[in-house]
Amino acid sequence: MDKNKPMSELRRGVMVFLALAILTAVEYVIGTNEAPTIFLWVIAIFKGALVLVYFMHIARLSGSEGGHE
Amino acid sequence: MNTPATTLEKRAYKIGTARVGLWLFFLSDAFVFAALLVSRFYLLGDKRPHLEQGLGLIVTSVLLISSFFMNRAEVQISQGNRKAFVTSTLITMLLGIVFLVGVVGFEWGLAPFGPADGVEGAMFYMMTGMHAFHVLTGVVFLFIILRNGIKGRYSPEKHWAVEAAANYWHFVDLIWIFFYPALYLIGTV
Amino acid sequence: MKKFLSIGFVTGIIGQIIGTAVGIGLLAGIRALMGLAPKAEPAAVLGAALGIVGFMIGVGGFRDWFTWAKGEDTFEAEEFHDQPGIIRYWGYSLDHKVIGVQYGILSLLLMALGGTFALIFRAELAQTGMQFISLDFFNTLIGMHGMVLIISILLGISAMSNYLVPLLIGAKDMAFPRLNAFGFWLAVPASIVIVAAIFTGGFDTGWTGYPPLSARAPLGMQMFFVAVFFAGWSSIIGALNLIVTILRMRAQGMNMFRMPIFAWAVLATSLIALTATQLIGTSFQMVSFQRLFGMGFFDPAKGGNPLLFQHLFWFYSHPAVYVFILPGLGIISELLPVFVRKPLFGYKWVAMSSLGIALVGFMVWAHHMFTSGMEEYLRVPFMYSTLLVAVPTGIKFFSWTATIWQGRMRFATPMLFTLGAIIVFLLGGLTGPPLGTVATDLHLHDTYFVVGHFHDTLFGGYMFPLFAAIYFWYPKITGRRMNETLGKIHFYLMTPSFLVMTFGQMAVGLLGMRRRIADYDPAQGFQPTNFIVTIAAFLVALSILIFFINLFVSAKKGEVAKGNIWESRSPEWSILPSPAPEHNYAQPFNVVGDPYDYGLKGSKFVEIAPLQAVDQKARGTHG
Ligand code: HEM
Ligand SMILES: [Cu+2]
Repeated sequence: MDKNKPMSELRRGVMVFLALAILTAVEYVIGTNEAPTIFLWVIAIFKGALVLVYFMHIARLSGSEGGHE
Repeated sequence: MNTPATTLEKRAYKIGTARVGLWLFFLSDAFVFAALLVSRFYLLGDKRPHLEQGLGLIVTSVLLISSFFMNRAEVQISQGNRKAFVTSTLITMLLGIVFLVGVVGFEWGLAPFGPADGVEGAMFYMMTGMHAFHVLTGVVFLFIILRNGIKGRYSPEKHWAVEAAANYWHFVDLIWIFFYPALYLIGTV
Repeated sequence: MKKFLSIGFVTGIIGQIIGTAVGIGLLAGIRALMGLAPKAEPAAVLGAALGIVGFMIGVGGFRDWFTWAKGEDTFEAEEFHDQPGIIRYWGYSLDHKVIGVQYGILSLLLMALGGTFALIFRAELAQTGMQFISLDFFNTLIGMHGMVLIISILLGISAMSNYLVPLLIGAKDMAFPRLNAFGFWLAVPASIVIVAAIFTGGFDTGWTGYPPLSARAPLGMQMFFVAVFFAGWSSIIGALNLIVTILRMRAQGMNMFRMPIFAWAVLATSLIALTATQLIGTSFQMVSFQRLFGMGFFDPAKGGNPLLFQHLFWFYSHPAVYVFILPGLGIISELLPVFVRKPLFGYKWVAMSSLGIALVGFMVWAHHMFTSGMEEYLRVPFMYSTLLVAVPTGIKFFSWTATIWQGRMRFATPMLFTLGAIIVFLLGGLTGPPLGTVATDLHLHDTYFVVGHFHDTLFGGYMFPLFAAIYFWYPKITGRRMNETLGKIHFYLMTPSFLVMTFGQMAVGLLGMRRRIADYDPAQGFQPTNFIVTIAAFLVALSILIFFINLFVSAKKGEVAKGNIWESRSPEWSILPSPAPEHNYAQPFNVVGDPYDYGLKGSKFVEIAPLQAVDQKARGTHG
């Protein structure tokens, strides 16, 4: 683990947040403008995946990554 | 043979076990929300309930921002920054309460139908109600880790409760990621 | 008196009474403040729910978690010690073996209760005309028989898996002992609430609770919903715990494919219970809310659709039938090799077939709805998926017959019940496809043929294996064997009576007798068969009474069990004394071979771990 890893973890939080925010805005535009529904589903699944991977750290399940007591 | 190294390893293994348990709970709980989502499309199909779009966007953003601070809180405690952890957790919790007020206080009051008025009303109150109930339990959970955090009970090595609370919070957010379009955006009024 | 008041069960009951009173009072109070007249239904529902919470507080279920929430530590579950003697079964124990027995006692109690309901309505059905009971009470009994026994089955499965899984995989206890106790005790107040349904007006929907009827049934319906909701949570919690235990707590060297088959079966079962159970909870909750708040999910007048309920309900309740049978089938595979002294045939296939059944079981639910008026294009796909289940089930039958083939059989009581299970389950399986085929089901749906079918599957897949398991593992609990003679009487009385009963049911079903009816026209010619079915049902009940007597008497008077009485390779027999000691294995063992290699020279399954391996054991293995 290199020294600036802690910093990058906070920054990653910002990046993920920005991505989610932009996607939500896109959703809103699509939803209020009668665009095909399929886009909404795709975006929702993509957002869900972001949360699962970066916020909930699903990878920790399988290994000791990020392990602490 | 209880050298410090082995007890540490034992504890880490225990946390791993608890983590599997937590995720299985998410899996189980997800089925409740999946059932409601399916019911919504089965009953309403292409129609969506008539709701305040602006308010929907606001509460969704509030929950999203709260998730951001939740993530920060967890990272901060794992770096040993207790003060920042407490602040982030407090913000998360307050945003959670704002979300609840927004949905239950405003949206429920503004909606042009009650729970007994047709199937749109039934679906809308059931879905938001079930989700709000989870947010409420999440707020309680956050309050607990906030209190213990202020007392200094967590450290970079030992903060499983924080991880669990954070994950639960993100899970509740994850549900809303699907409920928001299903209630507000998909279909026509 | 003071001692009496410190018993967990007693404080729990007091808590439930207080909780119920608070719930009823709260709602009456709120309505009084708002100037409204009191209303029975919401008050009863809140009372029942808070009563269950009150029980859990009273019994001490929240105590340790509350301590954790305050940021304090509690003792490790491994340091938990029970009070000695019988009293430990009445309190909040954290020991998986005690909890297993507690589950078993509650399950058998409910079995006796539910069985009694059946005897009452069977007596009524012996003749045409109404002799003993009112039509409403008959309906209530039918529904209660179904649901009480389903809860009993779920508890019985938890009993077997709680008691056996840690022993079989070499763990000291379950992964989450506190959660384990919580899951068990949740079922106690839930059972009380479901019995309360009889005294609050009953309900007339049968165990399935379909709206629109359930939306306007008497108040007892709500008690039924509340009880099932919490019993469901008990089942979910137990399943979660078992999955984690099986994945994370296995002995050194026990990779997934050296696990006892029973553990595989429990894993598959628990995956279903963990996920699907939420659907029955949600669907019942929706009906309950429709009644309480007028939410029109299933009310066509409000744009709702009753068919949605059936989809949600069967999405649980079909997989649930596999929850009921998979552990039992696991028991069969577990016991057969012991009594034929041969390896289990096709171990891997049997292990995977449990998962296969669980998986396919999720895709067949609409075979209960062929006549419901659902979309017609759904019928054929669901017919094929239903028939597909026969493949993994067939694998199990192949394995059993091949295992028995040329074996040196020993006909001890557990073996008799194992063989009985195979035969009865075969009949249940064979009567499934006619129901799963659309063309024949249109005639058979909602007749007594269905009743015959699922009694065969449930007895073959659950009751017979349960009895086998109890006769087999009883010495591990009490240190004494059950009486063989009484056991054989039990078997030879129950099996033929039971077969006569279900054949009779199927016969009247084929003639068109509808299920759940209280009376029938003598001109239809069902009467003699119905009479025989009733007699047979009473004989089954008599045989189970003999079993109960055996259970009690043998605890004190049974022959003392010394050593490995069945010559089993499984560690709980080959290593542990009977009764099994607290915290199981004083010293961990290593798994060095396959579990069922009976009769192969020099093959070994487990071996006591040399001392220096102790801390590695703590890590377990996972695969
Ligand atoms: C070989 C596989 C099986 C097939 C093809 C099959 C098929 C069916 C079908 C199609 C029905 C619906 C009949 C109707 O209502 O018209 C049914 C009912 C039922 N089956 Fe099975 N089944 C099978 C195995 C099992 C097993 C293993 C169990 C378990 C314990 C079981 C328990 C039940 C129950 C409880 C019902 C009645 C539910 C009710 O109250 O309506 N079945 N079966
Ligand atoms: Cu089925």
